[in-house]
Amino acid sequence: MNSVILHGGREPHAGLDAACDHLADAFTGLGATVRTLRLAEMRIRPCAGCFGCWLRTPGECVHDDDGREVARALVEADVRVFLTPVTFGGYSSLIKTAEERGIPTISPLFRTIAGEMHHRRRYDYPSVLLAVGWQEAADAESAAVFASLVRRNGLNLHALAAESLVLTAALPAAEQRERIAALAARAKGALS
Amino acid sequence: MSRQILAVVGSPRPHGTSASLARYLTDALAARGWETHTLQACRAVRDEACWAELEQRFLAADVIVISTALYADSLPAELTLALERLAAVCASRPAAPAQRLLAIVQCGFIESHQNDVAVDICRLFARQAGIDWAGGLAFGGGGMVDGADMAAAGARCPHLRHALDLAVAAVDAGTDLPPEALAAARRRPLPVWLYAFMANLSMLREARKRGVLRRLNAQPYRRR
Repeated sequence: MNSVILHGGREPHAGLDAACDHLADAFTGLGATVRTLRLAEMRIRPCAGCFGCWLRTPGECVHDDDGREVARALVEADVRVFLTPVTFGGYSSLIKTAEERGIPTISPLFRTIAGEMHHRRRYDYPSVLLAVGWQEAADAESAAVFASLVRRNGLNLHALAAESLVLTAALPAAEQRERIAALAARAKGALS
Repeated sequence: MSRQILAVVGSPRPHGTSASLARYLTDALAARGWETHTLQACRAVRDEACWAELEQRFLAADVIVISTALYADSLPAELTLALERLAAVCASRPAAPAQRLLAIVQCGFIESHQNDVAVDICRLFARQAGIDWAGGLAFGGGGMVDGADMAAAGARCPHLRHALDLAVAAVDAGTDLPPEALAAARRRPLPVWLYAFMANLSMLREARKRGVLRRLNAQPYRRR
């Protein structure tokens, strides 16, 4: 099992950094390889919405920067993890930038699944999407939107499973570790 | 003194559907005496002078409209970055003036509900920034507008034009978007299968025109 963690914190962040360590420990404990991409340290230009990755250089973004490495890492991973401050119920701008550079990894063509339109897959590797969000203070409303976003991403990425976990500063470290370990175990279960 | 509306265009495409919908709204409000400004989020986060203008217009606006395409089920990255920065600006102001924010979110899928998360994100931004939420129009089938002027595209999407007209009236009256506007935007003009068929046909034609039809499903990152 290969996993990739996209770390979407902009600066050193005790909560996210600890969660990243817990994720790495959990996947290693399950026998998985772990690759962590600290997005703040990478040079990733935002998606220009130019359709070049579909109609000029199919499957690859026209920007030659670290965003291509992100796209490759997403394809190679059985488990994709977005680690992010919960931002208005969504992902941080760093995660969004990286996620959108994954657009080349889907097909420009559409299909309908259960009566709903989705892009077709470009790659047929089964994968699981996990998103771990951080809130300084618990906010059920934004956590619910976050969960909806992860569900929608799971549908549009054809993930075998898509699950979110929101951690807060008030949650004891041991409990955070435990919840992350359980999340990783469920991801492995979904793949098997 | 005339009332001010700022349209923040979220899509990185300067002449895309997001810009077209924002223009329709601001033109109609200008005709009603509003002072209107339109800025692209991606330009603002890349350029200091443009950011300064965005910040100033944002703080001065009576109404802010976010008009954007859906990117990976939520807001585009540079719009998200702009909202992160604007939320920090709003957090430092001593007292929030009365402002309203509405959103227009459209996507290439025919189902309007695929925009719901993005609308919620705009709503939660408004909450965090201390701005009154006026509502969000969620529109599927953005490809039917395809950046065209709504005066022309309105014939293809009369429901959308109707929703925007209702939104203009609500903004001018200082009220929330009425349920009729939200419902009109959500109307599905074509069956899913037909829209998907047409979208695929259009994509295949474009690929053939550009000489990449045989490579359309290329897999440069295939696992070794």
